[in-house]
Amino acid sequence: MPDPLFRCHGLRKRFGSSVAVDDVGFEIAEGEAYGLLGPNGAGKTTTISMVCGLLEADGGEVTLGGERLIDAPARVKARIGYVPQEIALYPDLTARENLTFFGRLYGLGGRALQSRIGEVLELVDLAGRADDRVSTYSGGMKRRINIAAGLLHRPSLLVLDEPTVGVDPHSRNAILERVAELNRDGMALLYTSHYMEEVERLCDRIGILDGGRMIAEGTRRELVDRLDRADRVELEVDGAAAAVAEGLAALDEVDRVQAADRHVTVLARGARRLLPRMLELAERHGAEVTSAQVIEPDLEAVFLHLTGKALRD
Amino acid sequence: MRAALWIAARELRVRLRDRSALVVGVIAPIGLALIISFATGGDGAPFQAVAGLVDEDGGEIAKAFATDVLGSDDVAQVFEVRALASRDEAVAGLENGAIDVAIVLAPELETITILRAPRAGIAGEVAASIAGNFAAQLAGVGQAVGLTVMTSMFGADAFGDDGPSFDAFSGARVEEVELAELDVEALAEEVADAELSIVLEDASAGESGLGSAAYYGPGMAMLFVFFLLGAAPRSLLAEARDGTLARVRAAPIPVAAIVLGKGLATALLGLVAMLVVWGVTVSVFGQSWGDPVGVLALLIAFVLAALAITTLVSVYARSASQADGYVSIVAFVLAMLGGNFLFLGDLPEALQTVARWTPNGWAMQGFVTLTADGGGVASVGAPILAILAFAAAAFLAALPGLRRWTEA
Repeated sequence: MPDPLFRCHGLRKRFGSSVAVDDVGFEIAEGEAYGLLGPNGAGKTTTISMVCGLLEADGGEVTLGGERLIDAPARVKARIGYVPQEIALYPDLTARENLTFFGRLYGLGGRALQSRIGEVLELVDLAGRADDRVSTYSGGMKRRINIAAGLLHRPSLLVLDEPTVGVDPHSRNAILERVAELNRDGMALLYTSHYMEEVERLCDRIGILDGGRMIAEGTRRELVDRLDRADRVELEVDGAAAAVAEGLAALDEVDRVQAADRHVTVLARGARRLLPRMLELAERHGAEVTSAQVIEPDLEAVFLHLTGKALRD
Repeated sequence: MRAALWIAARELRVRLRDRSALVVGVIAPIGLALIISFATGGDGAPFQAVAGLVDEDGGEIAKAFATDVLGSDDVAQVFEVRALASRDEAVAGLENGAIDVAIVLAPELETITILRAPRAGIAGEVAASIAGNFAAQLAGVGQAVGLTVMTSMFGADAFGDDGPSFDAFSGARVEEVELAELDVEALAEEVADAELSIVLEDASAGESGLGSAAYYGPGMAMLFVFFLLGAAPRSLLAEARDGTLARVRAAPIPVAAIVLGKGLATALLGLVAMLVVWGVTVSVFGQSWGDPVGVLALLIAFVLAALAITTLVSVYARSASQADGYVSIVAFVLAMLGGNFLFLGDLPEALQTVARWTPNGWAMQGFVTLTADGGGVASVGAPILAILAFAAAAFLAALPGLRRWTEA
């Protein structure tokens, strides 16, 4: 296998007595899309901050194109495009002024910069609003220009930290389309999200983070195969969900159960055949099942299998 | 460095566009200057006071002080000097309002006492500044006197075409012809023995209220510049919260460029604001702040100190609103202690000493010196150095917090 474009290993970060990231490592090949999946607080943003040189790691190493971040921070940073979770733009400046400012920080200038600004504005469909202040944009437009600012210097690796948070479904789809297009054009991606479907849609390989540790890594297929053909069952119950979950956990076919409010998530082999028994058991516990859904193995089920928790806890 | 300039340019654009800098830095100080003008009954006329001189010494130095310092053109613009026979006559004059301040030269020149009416605080400050400057330069005078003695013995030609000069003597030039009229040997003897101390005393009761935009102008500008400059560390905190700081830090630029860029932009705004107040005071109220180079040097030094102090108090705040609170408290406390609201000379002696521990106090002293004796930048060297020392100390103390902030 050729040398990867990006590599990090043994990354550690501690804040006081709390360990945010513990021994995290992964590689990204040229043109590959790598997803970091995990619930809020799993360590995704801390990992990305260390990858982008925003946070000094307590241990471990980051390399891009064979150069260590610690040895050549400016050269490594110049090859990374960073799209933070927040709308990291100046609202009182226009889109063009924002892009001009960030482009200059990457050493761009003159006609080359203006031409590149035109290109990225076209890419995110905002050329017509280039001279409007960002404060007048809708949430989706702000997200798109937020991504555009990370593309100006044609990075080798685009790092996107939850770029669709708080965006309506239509804008979200548009953003994912653009990101996929960039990846198809050869740009490597490091994409973090707690939306499993985004990571499944975009990423070639996926790392699952929980409690600051990388608990699994592989392609979607490889991860799902870990489930041993277990399906995920989502139950909505009117009654004691916790008692129902406790009863379900006693069944041999059930791998994991997790209850939250009126919602019970079950990971079980032969789930379709097991469903009538589940409904019966719920009734015995004085709860009525108002909705039941059997879902094919997916990353949500993988996460439940690995951690005993739902991804969106 | 280029990155710092881009950041400074962006910061300026944002600050000017949101209009806060315009309001805090320009409109508010000008508005306050107008209010002060009305409140103090200022009619735009330049500061003028009547000073009584009591010469209990009668020696050559005292004579030189009377004729060459108080009699100089610069001081004549500020004080109309009247010779008085005794301290009692001076006190009576202060009480009946005939004079605003009296300068008493004690026998053997052990002290120079400034007696002033409380209503004439600024006149006392100005007189004390003149006397202080005179005392501080006696050593230089001693050197000049030595030269003069030599000149009287060997002739001016022995020391170059221009001959000796009394330039160091309180900024007042004494022509060779006047030197010849002095008993230079007696003067040299007196200078060698002299060790002056300056005493400022309130000598009569009276209504306060006499003021001048030449004093309050810089005082108010100093207060407002704190609020203006406090926006720099606050905006850094806001950028950390909004994510723009992280995005800037992800760029291939040093962290120092971010701090430098923001500091540069804000210092420039602060300086421009103070220049505007200066300009308005001069052009609208006709109140001179003194030598422009000296004023500019004082303003630059003060802006640096205020920037460092606001940064220091902000970097240890937990939020932008907490930082705002800290900056407001510090701005008002320093302004109060430093004599921005009240004439320094009106404050109790203990507070006058405390004023020396504030950049505001030093700056006010500097402005009074510039206004009083018409000296150049050299006459405010000590205040400028003291203010820069405050700036350096505050900046060094802020560094650890600043580092934590920019890396958060």
